[in-house]
Amino acid sequence: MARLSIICIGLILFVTVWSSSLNIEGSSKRVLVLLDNLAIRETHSFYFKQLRDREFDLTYKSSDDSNLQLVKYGEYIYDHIILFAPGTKEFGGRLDAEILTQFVDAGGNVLVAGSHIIGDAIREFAGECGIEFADDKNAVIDHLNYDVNDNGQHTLIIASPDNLLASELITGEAKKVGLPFLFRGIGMSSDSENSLLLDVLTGSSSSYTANPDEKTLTEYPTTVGKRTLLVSVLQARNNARVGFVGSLDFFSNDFFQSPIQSNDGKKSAKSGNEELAIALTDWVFKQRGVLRARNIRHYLKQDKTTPSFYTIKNDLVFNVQFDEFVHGKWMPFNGTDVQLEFVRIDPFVRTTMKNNGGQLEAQFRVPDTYGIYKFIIDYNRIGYTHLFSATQVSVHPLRHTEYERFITSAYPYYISSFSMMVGAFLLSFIVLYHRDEMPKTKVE
Amino acid sequence: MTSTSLMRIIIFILPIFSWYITSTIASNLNIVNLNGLKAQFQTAIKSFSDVASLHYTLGGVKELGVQLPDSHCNDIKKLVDKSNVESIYHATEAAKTLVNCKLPAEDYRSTLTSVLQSDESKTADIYYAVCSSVNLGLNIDESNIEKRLNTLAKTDDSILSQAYGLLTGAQLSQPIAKYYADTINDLVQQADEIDGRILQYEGGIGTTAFIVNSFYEVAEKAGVSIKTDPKQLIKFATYFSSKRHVATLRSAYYLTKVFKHLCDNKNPVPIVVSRISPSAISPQNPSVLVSITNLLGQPVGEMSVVAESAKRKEDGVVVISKQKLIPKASDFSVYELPFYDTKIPRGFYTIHLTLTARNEGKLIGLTDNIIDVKVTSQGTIENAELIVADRDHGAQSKTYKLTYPNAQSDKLELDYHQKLTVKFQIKDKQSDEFMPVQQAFLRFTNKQSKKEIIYLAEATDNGNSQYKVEVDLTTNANDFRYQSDKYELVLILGDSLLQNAYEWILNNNVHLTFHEDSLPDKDYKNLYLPRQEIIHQFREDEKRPPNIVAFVFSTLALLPLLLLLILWLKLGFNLSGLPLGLSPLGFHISHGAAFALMFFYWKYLDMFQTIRYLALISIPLFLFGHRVLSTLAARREKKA
Repeated sequence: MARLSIICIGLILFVTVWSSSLNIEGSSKRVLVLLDNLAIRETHSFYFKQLRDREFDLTYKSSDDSNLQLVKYGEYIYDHIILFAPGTKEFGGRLDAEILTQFVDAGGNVLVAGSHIIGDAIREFAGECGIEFADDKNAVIDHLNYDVNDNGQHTLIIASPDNLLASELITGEAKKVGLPFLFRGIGMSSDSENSLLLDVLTGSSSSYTANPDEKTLTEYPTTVGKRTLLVSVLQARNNARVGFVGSLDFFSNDFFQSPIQSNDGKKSAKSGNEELAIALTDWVFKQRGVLRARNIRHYLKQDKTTPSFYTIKNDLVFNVQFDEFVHGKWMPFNGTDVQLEFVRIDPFVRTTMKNNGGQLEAQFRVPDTYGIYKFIIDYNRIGYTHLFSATQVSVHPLRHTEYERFITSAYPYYISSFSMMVGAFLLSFIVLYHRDEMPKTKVE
Repeated sequence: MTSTSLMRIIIFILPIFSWYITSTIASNLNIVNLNGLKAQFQTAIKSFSDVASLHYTLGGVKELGVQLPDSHCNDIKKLVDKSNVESIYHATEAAKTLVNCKLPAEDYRSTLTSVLQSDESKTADIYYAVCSSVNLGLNIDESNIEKRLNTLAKTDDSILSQAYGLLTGAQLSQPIAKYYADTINDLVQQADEIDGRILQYEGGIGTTAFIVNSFYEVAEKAGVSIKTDPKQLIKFATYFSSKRHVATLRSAYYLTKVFKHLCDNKNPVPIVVSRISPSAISPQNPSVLVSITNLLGQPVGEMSVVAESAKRKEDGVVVISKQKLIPKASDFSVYELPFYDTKIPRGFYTIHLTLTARNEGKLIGLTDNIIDVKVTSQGTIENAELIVADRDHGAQSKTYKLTYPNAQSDKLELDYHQKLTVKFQIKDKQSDEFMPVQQAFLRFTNKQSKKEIIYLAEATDNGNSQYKVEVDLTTNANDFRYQSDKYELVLILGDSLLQNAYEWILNNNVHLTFHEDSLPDKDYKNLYLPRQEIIHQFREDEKRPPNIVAFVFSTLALLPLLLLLILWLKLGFNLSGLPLGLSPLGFHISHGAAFALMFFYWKYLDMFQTIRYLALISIPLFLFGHRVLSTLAARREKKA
């Protein structure tokens, strides 16, 4: 037993050391910003300033810097990557699509912005994530929703907040505020088999992605209508997050500050870009929607003790503390839709837990089937990290002493046997001591 | 139209966006986003955290022509750090912007002198000290400072350090300033050129604006003009004007100063040529309006503006050459070029403008100005028809004529035997020609799930651009995922050269019927929803007879015992055979205890406990029982 526990501790230590290079929640904030050219630092300075205000530690690098590396002495030196380098065909140094994918596999988060030109490395990385960018020189075109400052090709489009994902964690207040978004860039399509991708912002039903210089469309456009993805995100199975935005200008100072006037005269004093860009970055870089579970406890309802096993039909209580990571602090989670499952191959019980200030509680009666069970919490909601927790317990059948006694229907049996005993006791006196001396007296 | 309101319009209409628009408009400058700078300073005024931002804000606001109240003088006095030369510099500069704000010179004298005499001081420190001394009216030893600067120049030849040198020179006497003004061209040569149209220094907008500003300061003091190629000045100006928003107050302040210098008539003034009319030229908007101003959007006087050429982008056809533009405003800030007439076909055009100033000033950037416009045309949809035909018997078809913008009022029912064809043409209203469009989509929208299925209409090649789209409900059934449902049918037509795009609802109520069961839409959203609760169904208890049965049978089971007792009482019994002594008592007690144990076994004990107790009880039971029986047996033997 002692040896086993040493091995277990060793394994846990190994796992923690091995994964320590990247943290799951966003408490470490080292960001590598890769830029096509360093001028982007200035044209997008408001965005970067907001990130610095959020205490992100930004390292700007040109995407063709020959000293690019993500790993130093076997450890990742960044937690997040911003790829504002759509024009880069190949990254400099030790960085390519495969290394980016490995980075995501290790739990790193990546934010990618595209433009009308997208380099092969980024295309390949996007492909790994199930996102396909349209061909080079293509742009999202919307002849019905464009801004007056458009250069004539109707590629400076206005995306309506109606087409925004309704998740406050990912899009912040952007949906509630209802400001339209300015977008100029490329459209994406997502792999329909990939269930981990979420469409955050799509084009309107009249938008499509094509080369604006072509007179007529020679083939079916890469994306049409609402299937034109402008912003999409991926949360991998290890909870690493990847964000794709088809437009680098989306994050620019000009788009953040610009008033919007659509072709049909609708005006708005400011675009919603800043709100969405910041909320999206917060989400991708794990400042929002990160959950953890701790203090898992289960005990008998009757006497609040945790037995080494449960017996069928016990009433038990399951307790767990949920915390949410909100801007650098662990706060009590206040969702009310967390479900607990009691599973023996199939779930036998699935119940919604009561939330009392982050303390979640469920009470139920153990099923009348014995075996090895697990308490499973499989919390998967849009915007939150996937939280899976399993705790194993065994459920025994009744012991021989635990069956029901004093059954009313059995009273005839009880009484007959006891009356027999009483009878035998009394009879023993008669049999032993009764003397028949009567014949004489009877005669008399 | 007053010039301020005009300026406001210009600023409103012309936020030019990012690098890839500016890359198409090769050399044009933009009007400065003054409102943005002003707003930035005004937000900063609300609270000051340090004396530097106070300096930049007050200075910037003053440059923009707003005089702030002297109440800020207290802020300066509160925030200044008397032992730090940089802080003193910012304080004195800030105080200078206010009308009546005197700082006590004596408080700072010792710090300033020690900085000027120290060998540790950098060029920047020297500049701070000199500038502060001048602002405070303290005497400075010019020759000493010049020597110090020369030694420093040998050890630190960075551009920034040289710029501080220039600024210090600007504070000293004119001959020294002149000496420094002569080095400006060397510094200009050290700037980095990007794409052949932008000049900047390493360190970005703040640094570049600071350095260029130092050129002007020292040149002004020296009383000379900046001796450098105007092309390079234009490149700097392009860089500055492309920065519509800057992040720091320092950048904003120096940018404002540089713009003021670039618009000062004493210096070469770069000209901004920009289009203020929308890019689309149409009958409603037939001419191109061009504004010609300096960087701040102020008029620069009368000049003759000639459109050298207007070329169509795709094939280079020249439609206009050497046409003079007509001045539109009295202050000669807006010029008009009539562009729209039927002879100019649809397309994107590039207009090259050349400017000649009437009164020879120091205007630069008069040639190679480019304006992009497009000529659009108004379209009409003609010959639109919707044909419902049988798949197998093409002849059996029904044709519905459609007119824009009316929708079909009747419900349209289609099943998998049929196919739907939509045909239409788009005609240019002016030239009466059929025109092609880029976007010609036929969209089905499922009225319930809002899912969209879009088909492309293709143009036939015979010149009259008849568009046709055919939807066969059997071969295309998979697009609809066999979902027999109500759909909305919409035709979308759009092109960048079409004045208005069309989104025409053809029929709001189309019933499609497919021959197979519908497939559900792939929607992963339900992976993220709470699942249905499961409440475990326990096995039901066995059915038991009612309690009354148990009661009746319990009584029946008791009856024999009762009967026994009654009969005994009736028949009579005696215990005359009971031998006296301890052993019968012990025997019966232990006998009764054994039976009582059975009761306890039933009620409280488990089997092992019972066996243990039984073992204990059985010893006296055996011994006493043996004694009693042997006594009785002996007595019987005696009798016999």
